[in-house]
Amino acid sequence: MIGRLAWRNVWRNRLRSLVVVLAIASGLFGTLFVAAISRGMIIRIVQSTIDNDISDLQIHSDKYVISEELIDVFPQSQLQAAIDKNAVLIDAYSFRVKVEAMATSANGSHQVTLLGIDKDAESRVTGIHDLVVEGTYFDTKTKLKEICVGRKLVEELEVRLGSKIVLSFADVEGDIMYESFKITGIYKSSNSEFDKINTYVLSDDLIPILKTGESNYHEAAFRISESALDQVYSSLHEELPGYEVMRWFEINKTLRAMSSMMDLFTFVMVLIVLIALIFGVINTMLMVVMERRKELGMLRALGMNNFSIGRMIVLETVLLGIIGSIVGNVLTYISVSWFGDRGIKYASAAEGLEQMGMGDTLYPELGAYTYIAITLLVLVTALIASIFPVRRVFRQNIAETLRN
Amino acid sequence: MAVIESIDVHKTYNPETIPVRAVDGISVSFDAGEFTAIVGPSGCGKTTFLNLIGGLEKPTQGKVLIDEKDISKLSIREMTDYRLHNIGFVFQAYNLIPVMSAYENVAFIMQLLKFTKKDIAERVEYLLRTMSVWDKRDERPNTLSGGQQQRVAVARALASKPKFILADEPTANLDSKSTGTLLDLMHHINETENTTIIFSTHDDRVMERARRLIQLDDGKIVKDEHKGA
Repeated sequence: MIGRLAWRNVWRNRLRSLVVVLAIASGLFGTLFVAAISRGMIIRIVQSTIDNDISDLQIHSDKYVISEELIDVFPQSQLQAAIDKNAVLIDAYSFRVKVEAMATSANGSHQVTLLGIDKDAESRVTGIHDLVVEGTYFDTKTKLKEICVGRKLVEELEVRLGSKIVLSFADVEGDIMYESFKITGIYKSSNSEFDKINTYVLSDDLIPILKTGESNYHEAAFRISESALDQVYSSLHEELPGYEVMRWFEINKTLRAMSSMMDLFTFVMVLIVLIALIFGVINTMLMVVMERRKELGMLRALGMNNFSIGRMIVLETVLLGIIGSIVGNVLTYISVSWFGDRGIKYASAAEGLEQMGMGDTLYPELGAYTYIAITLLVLVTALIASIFPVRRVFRQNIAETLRN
Repeated sequence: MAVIESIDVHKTYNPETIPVRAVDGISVSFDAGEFTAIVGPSGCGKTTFLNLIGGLEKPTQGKVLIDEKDISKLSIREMTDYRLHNIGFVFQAYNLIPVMSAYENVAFIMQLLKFTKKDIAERVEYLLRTMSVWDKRDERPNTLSGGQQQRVAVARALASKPKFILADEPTANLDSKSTGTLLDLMHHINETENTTIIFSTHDDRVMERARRLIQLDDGKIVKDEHKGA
């Protein structure tokens, strides 16, 4: 009975209720959509970093993690048994040799990270092969050593597909080596800074120059599903003493910090909007109870106790909150789904976004828990907002309200 | 035996600033089944006295006994419960719940008292038929005439079978035909259900039909006349 009465009371003044509902809905929509864009940005950065760079899990020798000395390699055979033990849970893995080098062309030079990879294994671990925009991913029959570089590096060095560049780096003995490579592939990821630095050659070409020894590597990179990550991590950690096994968020701590910060930012933003909403709802509900002063006095005179009266006003406020949050959530869901599929082109800031690893298109994304959490927060807000009008009613003298 | 008894009841508003003595030492009792009109000029304390015996206000001094129980000592919660179980109110401005139909308005009090659906349906139908507004049961108050609204309000007041009904100038907004109909119906209820009915009124038509007239002036009883006596 109280519920039915509250529902009808909500729609007594349709315009006012609609204004409140729209205020709640637009407040939520605005906040959630901004949160979705921010979250989409972070997810894209995290995902592209995992997909193209660090993968889900990496293994290095203990010493390599400390000093990144070329000499601190490990033989593939030492890891193989542990990998085979977890084979069911590991989607793919790749061994890499890694050296800091200077890439030089006739027109310029730039410091790069040179990764020696196995083409097929790396294709299963990183998405670089899919990002090749010119040439191929180590598929040419050239006699020269092939190199796949980022678009940004190509621009920096003022070279093009087919150009030769010289890479200089120290081998394990400390001798500076100069080696010429032919650009046979140019890739473009969503992160221009990444593209400027990371260059790929075949490990079979690089290992003899580095003199690190056959089948010796600096890094093993793994793709593992999120659900299996911790299990594989624990197993490898146990199986491989003397090795540093690290998950993606341990390798790049900034990624996790960014994600946490974005959650905090979203929470603060939602909180500010909800506080603003509280005042709006309080104001409306105070108007409502003042307008219905006589009627509420009559209900109390007839014997409706304060608990029931309070429950009715709280319900009216909560109903407004629920309707507002449903409308807000639906609007957000439709918008996030629409733009999540198509993306929001942000041409004017494309360069800046690409430097941060977000590409030139923003893809809003929002987890289901956010919708649920926001709805619950709105309900809490409505409950808080209803305290003041309820108190106002309780303070009113029944006989006085009826006299008026 | 007296259903309601007021003993030297006083009600003073603004006692610390400009005191206004709305009720000034009223001692009176009402027996079961009485049909009483409290009359007097505007501001003589009729409504305040009804509020005091209806438990809507507490006396500044004196006692209000209902079935020999002093209600002025009850807490707000107990007072609310007491009103719900014992009193039916009829107001000058009808005061029906605008978002409910005539039927729902009458059923409302019974729902608060947790009557069964069957009992509610039977009682509401009986009352609305008695008040000749059964055909208006699904209509909301704003579509009813003043007379119809007041009849629904009387039906609501009777719904819980209260010990007595307090009606504060119930005919003030009604035309003579509606007033006649309403008084006939209230007489009928008074006789059939033995419900004590106390009006406050200036209306001569109500005074004519009342069996007891209590006249107030400046918060005091100046005349208490039992017509049949």
